[in-house]
Amino acid sequence: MPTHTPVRYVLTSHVEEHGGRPAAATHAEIFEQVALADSFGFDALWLAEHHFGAQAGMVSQPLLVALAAATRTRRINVGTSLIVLPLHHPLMLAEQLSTLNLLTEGRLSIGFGSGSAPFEFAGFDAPFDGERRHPRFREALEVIERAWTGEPFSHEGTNFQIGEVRLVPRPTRPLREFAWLGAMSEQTAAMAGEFGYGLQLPRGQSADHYAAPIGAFRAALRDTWGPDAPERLAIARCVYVGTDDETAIAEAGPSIRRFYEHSKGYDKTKPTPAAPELIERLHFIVGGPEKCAREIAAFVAATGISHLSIQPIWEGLEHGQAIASLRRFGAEVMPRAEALIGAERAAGVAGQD
Amino acid sequence: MPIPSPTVITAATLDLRGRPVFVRSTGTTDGPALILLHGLPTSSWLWRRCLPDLAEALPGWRIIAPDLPGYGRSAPRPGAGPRHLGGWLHALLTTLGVDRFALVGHDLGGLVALTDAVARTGRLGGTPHPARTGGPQLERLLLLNTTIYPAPLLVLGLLPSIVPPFADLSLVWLGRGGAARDDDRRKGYVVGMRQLLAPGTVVEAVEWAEYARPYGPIAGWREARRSLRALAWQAPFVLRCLAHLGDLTLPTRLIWSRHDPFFPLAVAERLRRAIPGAEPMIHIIEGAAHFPQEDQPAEVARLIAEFLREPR
Repeated sequence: MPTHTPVRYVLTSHVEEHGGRPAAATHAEIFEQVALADSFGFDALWLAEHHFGAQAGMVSQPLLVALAAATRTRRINVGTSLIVLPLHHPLMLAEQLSTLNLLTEGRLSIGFGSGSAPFEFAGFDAPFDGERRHPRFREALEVIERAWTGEPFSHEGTNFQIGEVRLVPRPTRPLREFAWLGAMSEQTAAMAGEFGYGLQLPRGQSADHYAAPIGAFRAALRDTWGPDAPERLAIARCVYVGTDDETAIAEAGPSIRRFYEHSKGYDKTKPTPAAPELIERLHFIVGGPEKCAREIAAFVAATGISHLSIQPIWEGLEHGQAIASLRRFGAEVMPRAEALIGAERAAGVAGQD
Repeated sequence: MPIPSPTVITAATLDLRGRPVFVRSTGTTDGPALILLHGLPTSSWLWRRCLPDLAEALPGWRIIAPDLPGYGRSAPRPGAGPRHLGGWLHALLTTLGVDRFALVGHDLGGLVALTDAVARTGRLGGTPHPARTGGPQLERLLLLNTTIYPAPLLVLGLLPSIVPPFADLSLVWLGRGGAARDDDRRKGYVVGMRQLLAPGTVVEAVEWAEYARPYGPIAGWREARRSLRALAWQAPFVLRCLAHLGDLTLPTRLIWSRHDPFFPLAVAERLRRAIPGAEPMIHIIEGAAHFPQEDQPAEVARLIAEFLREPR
């Protein structure tokens, strides 16, 4: 792993509905956030694909929003965490991606996932059970890869039968330069390595929880693409930066309690713990700039990630608060974190000599 | 409407500077040529499943698959490593009256194709390539599961006995039992080769028999071993070519199996970055191992033919 490459940041957004505000407002907010992220040199904007209001997500068509975001920014890559591949025809998706690559002049960063919400699959008449979903996921990726060469091809598979076709517009660079797979299982993580893609891991776990998929990913990447293959590894974190630790907890606390009460394993019969306990349990990064930078540096050191994916807003947090937090993140946390990570790596290198 | 006729594949033995060279060919007898070079330890037989599709997809093309010296049905030639096989190929194509050609190389054949393409640029120094002063001209290069990088080549050259189907080489080398053990040695060869096929690929016994034919007598193994050793002692030439990959501006296509046990996609990616004429995309074949010509012959033929049909 290159020791002195700075960590790259990604702005990730589920564009969640809150307070019954119109969709136009929530979409406008994401453009304000991404413009800010672009000014701080973030690597990418990742939008999650949610259908039918799942998890309060407002973005059902992330590629359209990504294109709009690209037209409003200068350098930042745009794309997804994650596009739910089994819900799309791989060839239609390949056309969209190739068009998007053209229109954004190569500013793409696309994560593919195999999906997690059964009712979204039901809505699109796609099989959700793992035995069919996973082989279909892999086959869909193989179809996209073959189409992506721009050559005429046909495909006779278990899930897709495609007559002689050719992808137009013809792609100009390999998919693996900007594609990612979202995974938590070792099997899918290994597939990301095998295809030479980056690996996106979800938020909400402690550093050691990611060790198994990261190990599988690295082994597969090395075996297939060699020891010098560029490694792209991202983990997501919900982040709120206040002026100091106490203010941060006071400002973000209520929304974090609400986040907890809407999360999967919530038990109504037990009282909701206080914010500081929840921050620890849900692995949020919340505090003043100093604390946030320290936590980020420690997390980067523990996992070896190349990208930290920042979620700056969640249900219950006001857009104004998220913008203020994001400003502090860019101005105060990023330089501090970079210094800490640099020092840590220099010490690590010196320790090896 | 004419009734489609089955592809005619011609097998012929030519005399090249006093030594027999065996050639399988199809398509026309003039026009641009497509030359298919096999690798270790096979022969032009490796391409048999691709030939009919290639002939059909490339009307007007001469499709020629020779057995490299010491392989299949071609006679051995002293010193036949990558350093000399470019000259050998030039002589062969001159004899056949080829004036322009595309070259496909798999495994060792890929190394021959790659080093010859570099030598043809005239940037290597030393004796100029004979094609600099005329004769058959190389127009397009296609590489399939091969390498030019020293790490795997030196391993193959110095330690052939760790690689199937050479795993039994040291034993066979002793030549115990003489001609009486020819069948055992052929069986050993087939067992080793089978390990290199993708799951589900079927090669019939009669097909194996043609592959294994030279590997009954000790002489066949001795030839294979000598060919591997040539990779080690001709390393200086190969390294010079490696340093000049940046001079390869001719259109180049990389076709690779998703799972080649010898040359992973990492090698294709290095070549793609090193060769200026390489296409931006590697063509990855799913469900194929070291011999995609056996595992996915239609796909191999399609990817070759498409590249030759594209206007440039």
